[in-house]
Amino acid sequence: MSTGAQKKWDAAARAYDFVGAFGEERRWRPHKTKLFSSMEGKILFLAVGTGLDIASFPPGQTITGIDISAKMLEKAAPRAAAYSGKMSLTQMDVHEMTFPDATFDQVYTSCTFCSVTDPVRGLTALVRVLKPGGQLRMFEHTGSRHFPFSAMLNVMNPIFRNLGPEINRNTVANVQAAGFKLQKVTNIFLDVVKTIEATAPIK
Amino acid sequence: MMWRTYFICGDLLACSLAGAGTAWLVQALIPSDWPMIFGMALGMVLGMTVGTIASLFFTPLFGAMEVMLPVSLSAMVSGMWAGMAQTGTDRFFGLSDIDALQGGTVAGLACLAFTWLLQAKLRGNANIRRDTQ
Repeated sequence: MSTGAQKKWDAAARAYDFVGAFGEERRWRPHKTKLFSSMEGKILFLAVGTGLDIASFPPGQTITGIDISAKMLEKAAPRAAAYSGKMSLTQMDVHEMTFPDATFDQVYTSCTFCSVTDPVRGLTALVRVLKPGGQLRMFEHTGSRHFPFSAMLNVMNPIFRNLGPEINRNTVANVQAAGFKLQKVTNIFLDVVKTIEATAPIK
Repeated sequence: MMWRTYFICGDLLACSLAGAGTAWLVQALIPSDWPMIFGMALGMVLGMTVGTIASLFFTPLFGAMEVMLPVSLSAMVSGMWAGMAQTGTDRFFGLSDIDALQGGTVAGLACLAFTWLLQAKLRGNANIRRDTQ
């Protein structure tokens, strides 16, 4: 397990809800609710964090949530317990998941691949645990192709990398590089905040 | 509807405050007898610094990227404008406090308007081949 990333997110857990629970969640919840409404089958939710996204889940699903940070999972536990379906939480690094091959029908992420240490390797690990043709549904922020925001995100990235996420990643290209077939990309805010829908290759 | 109004007001407030605050700081720090190019460059750097700090302050209230990007742009553009105005208008008196605050507010609101126009253009389904990052 990447101890550097684990330490960073353990430290961030204390202030995570203060930063994200009010403004950010209220902005993004309608879009997340729409994305998560397609949940069905056996679901992996990656980087569950403090569990703020659980309020956007449709009821009655069977969801396995993982996160690299034990401190984050401590905060997520009451939210997972209150979910009106089956939800289990496990501390796990996406690069080193112990699930058998082809375990899940769907994988969901929410602002996850801005933080995964090696995004293409992490996404390749998702291909392994997804059933052939399984669905990847992501709510992510990325870099931009549009000036001046493209330049600003690149300049500000070293500061934000130390605080938590990277803000200039090309996650759509990473999804394709990992072998997923891209289905749909929907811009939520500029071309920075977006939903990405893709399917795992059919072997 | 209530939250939409809240966020529109929040965006307006955050960008106008970031713009006004940056312009005031720049006119207070940069001597009016500097060459304009140095005034603009230092104004931009100060703007980027203020914009990053202001973004961290406004994020818990008004959201993440939706606030960070227009606020940072507002502060950077306002800083550049104030740096040029401070060094280019009057070599003895420079920019007044009121002029800096007014000009910075206008710069902030103009940057927010630019962001909203780009948002209107980009929102929705992206062209997977061309438009995705």
